[in-house]
Amino acid sequence: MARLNVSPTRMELNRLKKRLSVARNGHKLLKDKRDELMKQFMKLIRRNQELRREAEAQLESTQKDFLLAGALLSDESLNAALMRPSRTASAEVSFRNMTGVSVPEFDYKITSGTGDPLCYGFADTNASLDRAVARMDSILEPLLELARVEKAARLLSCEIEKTRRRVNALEYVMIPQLEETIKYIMMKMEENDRSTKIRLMKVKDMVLEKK
Amino acid sequence: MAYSIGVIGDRESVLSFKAVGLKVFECGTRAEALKALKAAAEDCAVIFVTEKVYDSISEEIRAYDDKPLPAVIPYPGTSGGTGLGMELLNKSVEKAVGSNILQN
Repeated sequence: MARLNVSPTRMELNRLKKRLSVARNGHKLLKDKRDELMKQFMKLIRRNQELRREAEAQLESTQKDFLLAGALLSDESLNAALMRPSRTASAEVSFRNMTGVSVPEFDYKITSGTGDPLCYGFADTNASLDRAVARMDSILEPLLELARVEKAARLLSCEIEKTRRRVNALEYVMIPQLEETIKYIMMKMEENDRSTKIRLMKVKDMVLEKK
Repeated sequence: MAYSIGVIGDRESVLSFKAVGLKVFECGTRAEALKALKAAAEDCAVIFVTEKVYDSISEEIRAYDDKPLPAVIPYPGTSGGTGLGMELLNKSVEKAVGSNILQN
């Protein structure tokens, strides 16, 4: 490991020692953070897998219902029935802190119009369309739950990657580098000490010889 | 704060969402899809995108990955699921853990 390019002085030594202790501290904290994030992530991802499997199956069969219901109707009447929904659905967003990552939560809400999703007359539509719309309405909430979990998992995975990189950089680059530089400075200073001592001894010998 | 819920996809796939009051963006081509994504990202907290469209604009969607909002979620359209959703899940596991630990 390459050592840092610094001059071997006592001041530099003190500075490096301080940096090393900070780096060690930070490394420990980041490692703890990474472990905790990982724990949360594992929990989320399992739930995510479950939810997605369920939601996909539900959605696919609901869309099939729609297609079948639509097949019995003319294009115009289907358009007329569905293109002017009687309400707007929206999501109330709040943020939750998950080990330092701000994760959004979605609450399903109907902001305008009635709660009834059936927004068309009975004249040119059929009962299977009604059923399909009602079913669609019922799977909106699970879909939003899926969105919440999936987003949280994705955000956590980004954060975990970042934290892991930091931990590794500290562990394998910063800390060894600092340790090596400190060792180098200490050795250099000891060497200086020794050479001064020898010089003094020599001078003393020379002075004694002259007398 | 209340945000809309957006849906992007081909006409058939988004029809059912339209009926229950979500904000729908129809698109056929890639350029349309990009425009829809941009428009949807402005005021939607959640954007459902059909797997087919998701696949074609996944580069652009990735830009929203590390932002808290919006959540872009793939769903199987009427043409059937391609397994893209699960694949993305596996990818994010790989990214976080370093190897895929979900056994399928």
